[in-house]
Amino acid sequence: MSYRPDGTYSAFGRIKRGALAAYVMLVAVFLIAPIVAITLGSLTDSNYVSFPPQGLTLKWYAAIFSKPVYLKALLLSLIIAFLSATAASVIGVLVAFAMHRYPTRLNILLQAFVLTPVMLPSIFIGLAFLIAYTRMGFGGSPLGLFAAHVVVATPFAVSLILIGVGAVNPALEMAARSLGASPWRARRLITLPLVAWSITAGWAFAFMMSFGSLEVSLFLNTPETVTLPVAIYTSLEWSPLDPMLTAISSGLVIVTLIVLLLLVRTVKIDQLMKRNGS
Amino acid sequence: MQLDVSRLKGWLALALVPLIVFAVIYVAPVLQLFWLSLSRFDPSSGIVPAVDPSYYVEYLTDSYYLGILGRTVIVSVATTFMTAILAYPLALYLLVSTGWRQTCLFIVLVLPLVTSSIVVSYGWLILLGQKGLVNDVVIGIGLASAPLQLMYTNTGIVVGLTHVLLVFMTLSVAASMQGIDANLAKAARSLGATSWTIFRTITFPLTLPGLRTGCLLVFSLSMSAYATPVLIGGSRLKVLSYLIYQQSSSLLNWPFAAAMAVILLASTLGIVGLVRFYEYVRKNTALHSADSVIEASR
Repeated sequence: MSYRPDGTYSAFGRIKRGALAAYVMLVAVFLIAPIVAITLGSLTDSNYVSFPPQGLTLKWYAAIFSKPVYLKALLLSLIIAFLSATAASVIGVLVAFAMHRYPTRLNILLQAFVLTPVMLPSIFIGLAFLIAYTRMGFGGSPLGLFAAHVVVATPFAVSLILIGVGAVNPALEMAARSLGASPWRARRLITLPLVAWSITAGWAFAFMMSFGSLEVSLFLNTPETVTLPVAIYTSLEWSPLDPMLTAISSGLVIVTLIVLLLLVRTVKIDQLMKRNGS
Repeated sequence: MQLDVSRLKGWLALALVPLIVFAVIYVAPVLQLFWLSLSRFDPSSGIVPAVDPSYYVEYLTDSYYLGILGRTVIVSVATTFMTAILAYPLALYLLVSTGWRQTCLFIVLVLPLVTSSIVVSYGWLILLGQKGLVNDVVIGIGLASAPLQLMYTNTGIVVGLTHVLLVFMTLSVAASMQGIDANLAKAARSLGATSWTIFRTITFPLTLPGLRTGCLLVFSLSMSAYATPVLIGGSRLKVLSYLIYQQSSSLLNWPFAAAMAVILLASTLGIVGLVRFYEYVRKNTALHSADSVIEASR
């Protein structure tokens, strides 16, 4: 775990180490700047968006409650994200065990089906869903939205759960079997606890990707299926400087942050990097 | 490992449901999109089934459309370049830091990616405007006397895309940095190399595979980005993905939109494929010439 990098760093003197830390701080400011601008900007007392905020108030958050459109959109986004993340995790578990327990060429097909959606432009698959789902008869319905979000979220759940299952030594399960445990009991008591972290992390990642996804929902958007990102997108065209819009947006940020913290608590960052490389 | 019938059954028990579900909700729609891109569209009667590549011809011969494709490529290349430069020190820090520092950096890197692109772009809208914080700071410290035009520029789009995609480059570079044998740098140091020389001659060449993965990822994601270029670039600086959305939702011309979506995919995968092909050829010719040297020395 405690990894000594290639030696470049250990060759650094105090000044260079300080410079590196300062640089990282600067980039970190760059990375959080727009999100901080939204969340702090929503506290402004002025009638237009202003960052830094002028005065402090929560009145724009209270104002959301008089706009059922946004509350409906938030609720729909939460439900869709919850359901599609759950479906994506189930698919992820099935795929990961199929690929690790049965090394066959057919796994390429499995990979092509569940991992490629992330490689295609979201505009491309959004348009494909609009056309095909309309013809299948569930284009503008919540069902179509759910199906589309399952496709968007699954690659993230699958790749994390694959890491988790790959790290488990199959001999452990076999040992349990040889001591008389049934296949199901061995899997439940030995393998499942060892891969649980990756299922939680995969679920959380899938949830965030579905919850924030704009493009695919935009294509499948009808008055009954407006998700929160779509509601923000359409409002931005009319009134980009309405502080209530920043309040709604920071609501979205808060939900994302909560799930991200759940993810960070479970994920093993070092294992992530090991797999991410070529 | 050979697959017998019982093992195939076991595989199918796990894989069948995901395969069927994804065949219906993902693979079929994608194939249909390719098929539809060859149809014709008539404003009064709708989609006319045909096998006719004329929408592709129309796109690829029109200088307006080609200009938009060109700008999409240029913005994506610039973004890839920016992320590559910014990523190296971050990757190094991500590896050497431990505990909460590492966790914090990880959260900060992932946050722009997992937060909805619409919210992040909205944040830039507030910061980059004429009266935004960035202009206040720039004027405040005397770098400029009048507000800079940052919104609705290509520079603004590149800033926004770099912000979201930096995490991919950083994680890719960090992954290959992690695999470097620390003894290499120790040896170089004992021979008197400075840390810059170590970076230039050891770290950088050995992280090239990660850099390549990162570049391909960032490039293809910039090509297909939607919310960031649309909100920061506005309607004047269109990118290809905006054109596709406009064509399908306002003009309802699905076949033309489908043809453009295929062109977007092809230009992304095409450039990625060219890079792979070039490396493949170079690797093989390198092996070949190495063989002939060995051959000649015998």
